Parts: sequence; C-alpha cells; structure tokens
Amino acid sequence: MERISRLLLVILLLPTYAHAFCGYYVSKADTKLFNKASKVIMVRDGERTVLTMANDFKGDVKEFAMIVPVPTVLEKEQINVAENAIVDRVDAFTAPRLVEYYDEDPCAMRMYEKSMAMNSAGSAPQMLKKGGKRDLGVTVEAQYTVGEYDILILSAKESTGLLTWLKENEYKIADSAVKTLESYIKQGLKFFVAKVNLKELAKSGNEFLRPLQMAYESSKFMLPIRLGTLNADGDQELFVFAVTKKGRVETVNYRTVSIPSELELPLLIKDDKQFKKFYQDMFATAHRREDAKAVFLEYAWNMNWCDPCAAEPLTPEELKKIGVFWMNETDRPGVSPMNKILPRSPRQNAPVEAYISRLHVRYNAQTFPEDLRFQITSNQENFQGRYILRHPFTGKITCDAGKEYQKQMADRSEKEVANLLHVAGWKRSDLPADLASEPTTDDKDQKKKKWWQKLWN
Amino acid sequence: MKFTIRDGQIAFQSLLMLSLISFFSVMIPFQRVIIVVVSCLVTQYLFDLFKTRKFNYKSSFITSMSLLLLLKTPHLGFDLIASVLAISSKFLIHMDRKHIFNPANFAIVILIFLGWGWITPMQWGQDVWVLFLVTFFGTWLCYKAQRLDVPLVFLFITWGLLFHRHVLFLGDPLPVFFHRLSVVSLYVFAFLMISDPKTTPSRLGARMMWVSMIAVMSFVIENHYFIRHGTLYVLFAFAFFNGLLNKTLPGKDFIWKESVASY
Repeated sequence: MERISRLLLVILLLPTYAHAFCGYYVSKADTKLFNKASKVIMVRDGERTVLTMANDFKGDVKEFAMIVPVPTVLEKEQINVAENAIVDRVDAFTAPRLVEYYDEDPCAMRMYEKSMAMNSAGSAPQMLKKGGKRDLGVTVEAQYTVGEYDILILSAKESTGLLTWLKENEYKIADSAVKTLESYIKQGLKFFVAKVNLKELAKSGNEFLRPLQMAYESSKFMLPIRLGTLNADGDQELFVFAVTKKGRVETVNYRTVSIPSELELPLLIKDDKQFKKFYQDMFATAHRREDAKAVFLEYAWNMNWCDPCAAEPLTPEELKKIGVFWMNETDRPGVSPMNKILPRSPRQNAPVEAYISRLHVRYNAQTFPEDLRFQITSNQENFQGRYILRHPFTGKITCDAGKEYQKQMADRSEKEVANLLHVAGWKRSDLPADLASEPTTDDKDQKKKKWWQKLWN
Repeated sequence: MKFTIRDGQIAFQSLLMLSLISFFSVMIPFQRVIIVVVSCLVTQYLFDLFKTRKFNYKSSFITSMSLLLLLKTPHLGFDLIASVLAISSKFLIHMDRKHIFNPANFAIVILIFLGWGWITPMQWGQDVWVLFLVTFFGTWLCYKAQRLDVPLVFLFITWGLLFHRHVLFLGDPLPVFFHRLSVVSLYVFAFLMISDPKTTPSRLGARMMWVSMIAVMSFVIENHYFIRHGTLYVLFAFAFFNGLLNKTLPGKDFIWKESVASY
C-alpha cells in the first residue's frame, strides 16, 4: 500500500489561527478579494510534478509554520523558493475579466475594447524547524535551509508520536489531527515541515514570505486538503493553477463546473469595487447552487495567447519559474508592445505546449471530506470568466436604424439587470435608483403584446 | 406490446442523458449525437449486410448512447472513430463466434489510450436521487437480463474493499468512505457496462469468478497504482479471459430474443 503514497499535503499551523492545506489564513479583513486563500501552481506531465505554494500570510513570521506531507524524502535540490510576483502573474493572466464595448453610432459601426482583470491577491508562506530527541517514532530524514525557510523532512511511525513531536516543537496542531496524520502515515508519506529562519529573512530583505516550490515524481495526482480543514472555522479558499502539456485538468472525485460566464451586465459593474463584489457574490451563488460540493473552473486556455488578455501571456523565463520543465526557452517569440492591447491570436510558431486550468475551490470538512484528486484530459476548449459591459451610443441619432437601436436599448438594459440579479443573487432593491425600478408599465404592456400586434404600428 | 430489455436499456440511457443535460449542465452537442448515432448505425448496417444478417439497429443504438454518455473527445472526428471502432470490434474480434469486448468499453479504452478522449467520472455527481434512480432502473434491467449477480457482486466487493481501506486500514472518518462509494458513475458502470450479457461468462460460477477478479483488479489499479478509470481497463483486459472461461466452463449462450419481458 505504501509505495503508493505520493502526495503532498500542506498545512499551515499558526498558533492562533487555523490553517488549511496550502493556505488558510488569517482573517484580517483587508481588501483581498477572498480571505483565507491559498494558491497552488501545479505543473504536471507524466509523473513529474512541480508545485508552487503561496499563501496570503500576514501575521508575525515567527509564528508561521507549515506541514506538507510528501511522497518521498525530498533532496535539497528539489526544493526552491519562488517570488511572489510569479504567482501574481499567473493569477492575473487567468483572472476573471470584465470587458467593455462602446456601441457605435448605429448609423456607422466600430468597436473598442478594454479589459479589466480581477485577481485573487495574496503573498507567501514560511516556517521554522526543530529536531526531536525523545523516541516518538519520528525521524528527521533531512534538514535544509532554503531561502528564508528552515525545512525538515520527517518520517513517522505513528500519529500520536508525530503529534507529540509537533506540539513539543511548538507547532499548534489540533488533537483531532491524529486520525488524519495516521491516515497519511499509513499511506507512506513523509512530512515536509517548514518554519521561517529569521536571520535569513532579514538578510534577504524580503518583507513577505515567498512561495515554496518542490519538484518530485509521483503517480499520485492530487492535493491533500484534509488536515487544513480540521481546525479551520468556516470555509477555506483554494486556487489551483494546473499547467499541463495536453489540456484541461479536472477533479475526478468532485464535480468540476464552469463558472457562469459571457454575461452582459449593467454599467454599474464598471466600478472596480462593484465588479469585485459582483464576482464574489456570483461565486457564492454558484457555489450554493451546487450544494457547496463542486470545484469551479474559472479559466482554461493555451498559455501562448489570450483574448482579451487580463495580463500578458507568461514569457519563457516566467514559465520556467513556475516549473514548466518541458519548455525549450529559445523557441518562443517575445511579445511585442504593439500587440499589447490587441487580443492575442494563436501564434503559428508558438511552441510552448502549456495549457492552464484555473480551479477555484471553496471547501470545508463537511463538503470536501476527501483530498482533491485530478486528471489531465485532452480537452483544449477555451474557457474564461468574461463579463461584458456595453455602453450605449449617446450621440445624436439621425437615421431610422438608430430609432430601432434606441428601442432595443430598453430591452437590453433590462436583460443586463436580470443577468445580474440571477447570477449574483442580488436584489433589485439593492441597485441604484435608475436600475432598481421594474420595467415601466408601458414597457411591460409592450412586451406582453403579441408579435403581430406590434407589427403594424 | 412487447417491451424488451433492450428497449429498457434505451429508456435508461435516455434518462441518464436527459439528467446530464438538464440537471448537470453537461453539454452534448447535437452534431455529436448525430455523428455518433449515425456512424454506429451505418457501421452495423454495413457489417450486417456483408454477413447477410438482419440489421441489428437496437444493439448499435445502445452502443452509440453509451459512447455519448461516457466518452468525451476534443473533436468530432474522434467520435466518428470511436463509433466505428466500437461496432467493428463486435464483428472483427471473436472467440468461438462470440464477440468478447463490450463495444463501448473497447472504443473508450482505445481512445483514452491514444489520448483522443477522456471520461468525466463525476459528471453525475453524488446526489442520492440519481443514485437511487440508477440503482433502481439498473437492478430491474439486469434482473430481466438474468445478470443481476454481476453488478451486485461487483458492487459488494468494491464496497468491501473501500471499507477495508478507508475505515479499517487508514482509519478515515466515515464521510470519506461514503464519499467514495456514492459516485454515480460507479453504478452506471456496474449496471450498464460490466453486466452486458453478451460479454459476461455464461456459467454462473465462472461469472462470479470473473466479476470478482474485475472488482479486485480495478481497486488495486486505482488505489495502489493511481491509474484513473482502472475499471475500464480491467474490463478491457478481461475480455480475453471471458472467452477462455466460456471455453473451459461452458454455459448456455445468452440470446437476447429469449429474454423478452412482457410488458
């Protein structure tokens, strides 16, 4: 049974806060879109996997600690510290986007486009280490300092010993973790434990903890989330950015569902705050409609291009940084500034076979009792969270087509409001006065009329 | 009016497809339906013509429905290939004048292997009402086809192994165990694919042995080697074994006609 076990589990243990697998977080209500969010970039081909784990940890770094069950004892070269910026890049590239179109003079015709992206925002993790003396069945297999982290690889014979060891070494972990630890031990896992090395942190001059990366080979394609739900209150938020050669990644033990997309919305959403609120509410509504048991696909696209682009496609160097180990860095053409605002079209010579899926999981112990298991599919169909604003033409209208256009505007704006109310679960009364009113009686009468009644007047 | 098991199967598959489209927002594009159904029927027709047999449209329609329900491909061309492969396998790969592969299973495994397709085991989710529907309908159909033993043995062994692994061995809480056994696809597979009367051994004892081995092997492949959809591969690999069992432990061949149920 044990040979099997190749999995990675990350858990953050903070004295006063509960943490989840790769993340968790502290409930400081900042401007962050989703609190307690972890981000994991998972690059996989065959059995090779590179994981980058970032958490928006904002507390005292002395209190930061993280436990990641790993399939084997990792060597020092298998561990790396990445920059936060690279995770933010991937986040920005795949973020749900708001697009604006300006209606042309209906008596002429042209279009402009502008895009606004929304990120999930976040920063990084870190930890400390200590060695146990008493015989608790815990062995320190290896010990490294990588970047600002002190890392230990532990193996354990049984969970009570491991729990005691962790507690003695000042990791705050709930007693209820015993069973989960036991399960992971029996699956043959080692435990990757990290704390922050304050001296190294000071030397590096970094203010925030950076993401930890690890490269390993394993037939298991999964992310352990169970430990993190144990002492967590409420839901955890996890973003998985899965990069493969072949195509989309989906979960095999939870339904993967696409987030509502391609919706036309009222112009009030243009306001950045409103858009963020809209997105959060829409996610919450979709999540509730799936009984809180689904994993949501927010983006799925070839990494060579985008349309519209929420951020530039990653450069070869950036792809390498996130762990795209199969890429040949010399092949890919650079992005010319000329193309910056224009939608990218598939590049004929773009040789990077990298396809990204952005999965958003909101989970707790009840709704997600099992670790996440994934599969790579050959599905390369593009998908993005894209929301559309259309500005009506406000100039002087001089032709008959223009009058028809004005009539359509009323219907369109009512449809936009209806979209908003449906997907975000907002109430009409919450909207600003100009949108809050129901369609006027005249409009309604007009709508109720049969098509032939409208035909000759 | 006679309502045969095959009509029942078609009704069951249609229900599953409707549930996918209406409750689980799974898209099955119209062009795909046309391509798969037409190419299955045409392939069957041509083979029947060649062998001067009566056109067996129901069998090929059932195969096309299975493909539509389970297999996903990135391109319609692969759907066409899958359909032709599935139906041709019935005519081209025999042992003692019986086809040995479940046609849909054959095509799905080949396509997954070539990277031309995939399956989404969680498409029906884990809702109790769907589980009930599938189990109820599936039990009735398999009972009528005198193959109820196959899904029951398969499911009991699978449950037992999951219970052993998660509850007894790993000590996971019960919700983990229930989460694993409530996957609707497991039941769809048990009642619709593995229990195909034509590709299960004829004799009861041989059948028990065959299905038990499939259940155990699938479990090992999925939980110890972490290969997704192990059951599909195992069923594929055991097709030859099925032929051998029929040779060494011969039983009465299954003929669809005899199993007409009055309705």
